[in-house]
Amino acid sequence: MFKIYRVLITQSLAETMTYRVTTILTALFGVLFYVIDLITGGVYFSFTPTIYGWNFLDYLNLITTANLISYAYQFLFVAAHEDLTDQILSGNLDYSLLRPVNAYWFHACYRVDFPSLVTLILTSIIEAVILTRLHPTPLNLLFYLMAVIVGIAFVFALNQIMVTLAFWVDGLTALNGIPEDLMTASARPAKIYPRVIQQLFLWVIPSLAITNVPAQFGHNHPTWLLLWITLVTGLLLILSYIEWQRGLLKYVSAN
Amino acid sequence: MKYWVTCQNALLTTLAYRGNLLLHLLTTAINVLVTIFMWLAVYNFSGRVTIAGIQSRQMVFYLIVVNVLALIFSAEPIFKFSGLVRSGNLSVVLMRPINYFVQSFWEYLGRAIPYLIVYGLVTGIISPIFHRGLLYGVSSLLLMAVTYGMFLLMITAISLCSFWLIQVWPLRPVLSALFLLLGGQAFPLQVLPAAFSWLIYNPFSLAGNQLTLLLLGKLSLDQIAITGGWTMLWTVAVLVLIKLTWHRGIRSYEGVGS
Repeated sequence: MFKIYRVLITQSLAETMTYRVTTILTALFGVLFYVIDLITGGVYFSFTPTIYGWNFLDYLNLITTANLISYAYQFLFVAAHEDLTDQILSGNLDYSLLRPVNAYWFHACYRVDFPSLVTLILTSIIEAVILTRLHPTPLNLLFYLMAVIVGIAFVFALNQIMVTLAFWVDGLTALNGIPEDLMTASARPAKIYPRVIQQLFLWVIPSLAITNVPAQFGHNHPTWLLLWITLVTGLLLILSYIEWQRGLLKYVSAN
Repeated sequence: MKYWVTCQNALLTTLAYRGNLLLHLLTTAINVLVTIFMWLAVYNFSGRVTIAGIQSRQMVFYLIVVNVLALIFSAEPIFKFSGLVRSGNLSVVLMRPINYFVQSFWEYLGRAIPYLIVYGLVTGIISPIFHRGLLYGVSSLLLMAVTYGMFLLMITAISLCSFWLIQVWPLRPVLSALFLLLGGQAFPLQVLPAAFSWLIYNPFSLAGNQLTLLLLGKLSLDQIAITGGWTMLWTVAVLVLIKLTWHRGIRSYEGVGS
């Protein structure tokens, strides 16, 4: 399996090198929107030193962590997900279904998006600097890293569920943008939202918890929510796998 | 009348994919709500009643209206024109007994009709601009019309780069970012330090920030005149740019695929 993944990464790199300008532009735009987030945060905190106990550095930690999770997802899975929708709709899954590999993981890992690696590295460096200022304990740092990994898996599972809907729904392209919008909306301190919204997005669809939990570990405020988001992410992954298997029953080949 | 059909078609195209339209509106609403809750928290914790002369209730209103304007002032004509140039179908359009720019205006209008209705209703029902006398009301409507034309012309001018660029998709995130930051979509530009006050006269701010403040009744007659003057200046500049680049572009256009 690792050998196959290495081949897929090599192919992705070859494609990236073919579209060099696109690579540079995609990386630049990633940075551009992160800078807008920073400026907007700077504007908020120019009027007040803290918001619900979060100071500017905590806020930076939150939005940088949220961006880190998004860019890591984009680097590892977004190109594969974009390709998967096309493959399902055009009825081109046959070749991967015939291969002696797990088709779910083969398509999930089909391509990596190297332009996102640039923004991922940049965000990681900024986050490392922020964490050195926040001084999390080694244990909290470990839980921070675990929470980020769970976050990436959560975003992957949400996107996988949306993309696989292509087996049933054709043309509703806006569906694929929902996870991204949800994660963008979740890159804020949970307490700014009314209690109902907080409960909904901390417990039912825990996108707020996905961004807030690692940020809390980053500034030494450990929370048991990490266990909950791990559990929900696990369930979403299982759900996406079941959806994939059901979807294959609906699949119509065009070959 | 022939252009009216274009307008109707554009409206039908917007409404054809209702699921996509609804989801698009839903995600826009979510983004607006996020910004609203963040600003309400800022008001709450700063202990201020007004920020840059805007009360918290007006800020909520500002953020909703500026986001409706972001939907109205779309950059879609750039990508449509790029498609025409790349496919060579521009030749077909040029041969028709129509003016491409007039058609483009009606298409732009038709696509934005649902959002224009929302903006119109808000202007007519909630905004104080029609309670400040005839002159104020007429000036406000004139400013809206001129700004609408200026923005479309600016987008048209940008679209002409399709004559020389193979891919124009990178412009989409750039223009979104510009409207977000310079158009006052993320925050009113008035909250920035005084050194940045000149930013309010950039074309994105005229379309987003200034039209929203107008609707809130925050612009005096003098300010409307100054804003209108800047809008006219940008319109002239963009018209000159279109005139220069259109002829050069057409000369370099190869009509591949036609």
